[in-house]
Amino acid sequence: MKKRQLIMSLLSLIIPFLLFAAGIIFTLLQSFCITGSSYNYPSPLFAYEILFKDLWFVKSWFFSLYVAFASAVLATIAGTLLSWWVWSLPFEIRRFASAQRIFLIMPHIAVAYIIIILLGKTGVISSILYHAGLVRGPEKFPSLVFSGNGLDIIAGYFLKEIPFVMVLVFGILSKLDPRMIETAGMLGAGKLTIFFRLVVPFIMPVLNTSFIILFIYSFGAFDLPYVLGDSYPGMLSLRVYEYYFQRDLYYRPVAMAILSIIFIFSIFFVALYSRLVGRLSDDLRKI
Amino acid sequence: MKKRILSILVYDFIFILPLLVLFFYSFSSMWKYPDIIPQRFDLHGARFTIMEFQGIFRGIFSSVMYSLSAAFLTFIMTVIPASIFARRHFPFRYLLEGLFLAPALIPAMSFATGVQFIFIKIGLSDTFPGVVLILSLVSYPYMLRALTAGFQAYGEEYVQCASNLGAGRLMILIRIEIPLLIPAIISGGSVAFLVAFSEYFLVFLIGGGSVPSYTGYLFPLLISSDRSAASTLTLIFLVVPLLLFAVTDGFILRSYRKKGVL
Repeated sequence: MKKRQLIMSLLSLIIPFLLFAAGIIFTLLQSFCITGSSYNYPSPLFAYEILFKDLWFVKSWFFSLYVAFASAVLATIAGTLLSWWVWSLPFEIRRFASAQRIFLIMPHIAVAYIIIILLGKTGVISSILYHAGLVRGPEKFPSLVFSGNGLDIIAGYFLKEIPFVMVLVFGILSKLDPRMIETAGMLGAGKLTIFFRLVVPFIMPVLNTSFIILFIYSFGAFDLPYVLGDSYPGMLSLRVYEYYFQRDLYYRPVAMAILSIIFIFSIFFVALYSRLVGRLSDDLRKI
Repeated sequence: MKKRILSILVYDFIFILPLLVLFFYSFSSMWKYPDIIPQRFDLHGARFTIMEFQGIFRGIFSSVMYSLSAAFLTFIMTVIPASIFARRHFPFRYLLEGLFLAPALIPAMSFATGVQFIFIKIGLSDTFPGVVLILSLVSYPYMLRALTAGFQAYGEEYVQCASNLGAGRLMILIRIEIPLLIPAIISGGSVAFLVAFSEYFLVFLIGGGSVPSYTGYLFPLLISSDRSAASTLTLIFLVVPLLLFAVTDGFILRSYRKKGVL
């Protein structure tokens, strides 16, 4: 295919991609205090200096890493186990185990709301435990929501991401030949051996992919933590929001600097992702 | 077998439980700790919905419109490139494909703020087209993926055959390729629609309050103390995409049956 012809046929994608690239460039430029406004900044690195002197930012950074990592790992593991369980069910009844899909259509802000009403000190789970005699009263129930320890955000992403992992894992499990499992069983492999020695290696590429997607998403997303609203140390996206909307315009470069760092960090991960995707064969790539 | 059916019921129940809680809250504004089931039921949530009908409808209508437009726009953006990625081999294909998928992977905030800066300069900020554009920017990768898989699902022979019989390029696209791609278009379009419909921040950033949205309408309620209204509206939120998917499914099935395919 000729180069010009190729560019012409990809043109309808190149245009939005240029907008994306321009968006990134303007974010980067503004982070170096090139804002087109009349403010005078002491140095182009003004925003980055503020950030790295600010312990809050460093704490937010590690907090976001922790929340994103924990939720992505937990959702990938739970999604894999549940998919495997559903897949092992007899074919006729398999399709009835599909209620997890509710959370595919549920928007992030609604998932966050559900976490508040389920896990709050006077929430539904606390009520159930009270009646079961396990918790004496709301004050004895652990602080899961609005306490700043990130457990509420992790729980929210966990719930929202399980069905996503399951979609990906089902996609690849449908390519797994059931006769392979039967053969392994006949040769004396137990359930655990089959799962860890046969199934997990087979679906591993998809697990890597899903982990990276979920990790980056929860690392930089805004909607869910905004509803849950933990302020300290809080997710990075909430820091961005604060600097972008709630402070003087003068501090906007600080928001842009955080976003630039998030962007560069994500690029690092996307590079890893595309390498993994490149290794998968054509028909296995579902996402 | 009985044990398995029981375990499926338990599995489904766990995921349905949150919906059940929303349902109880919708019909009881007096649900207090430690009642597992509300002591009194009332119609506060329903009354709120009827009273606020105008605002709710405006939000839903606007959200559906910009999400549908975004899904349609992603189709226009990706249909020809997807056929290239599915059929042609050229140097740096994977790199290019990975690059084009980046907007769905990289946290949207990081480029959306830059895009907002551009939109302000060119007058697209606070407008409906601006919102559609930013939403298609984050959702086109899903459409690209779905269409590429769709093109890979059938061989190039159909196209060659039609071409040999004298069909032009446009004719082939409309009469052969798009009908064969319908399942892929629906799955890609559903994801693109859902991404756009559930988004709160981007619509808030680019729409700036002048483009109404259901998420924007819902948000203040979710953090308010009126759980009855918040739960009712969250349930309504789920109904919209479900209805839409039911309609498209029914419509597609009917048109397939008419042609005698199914």
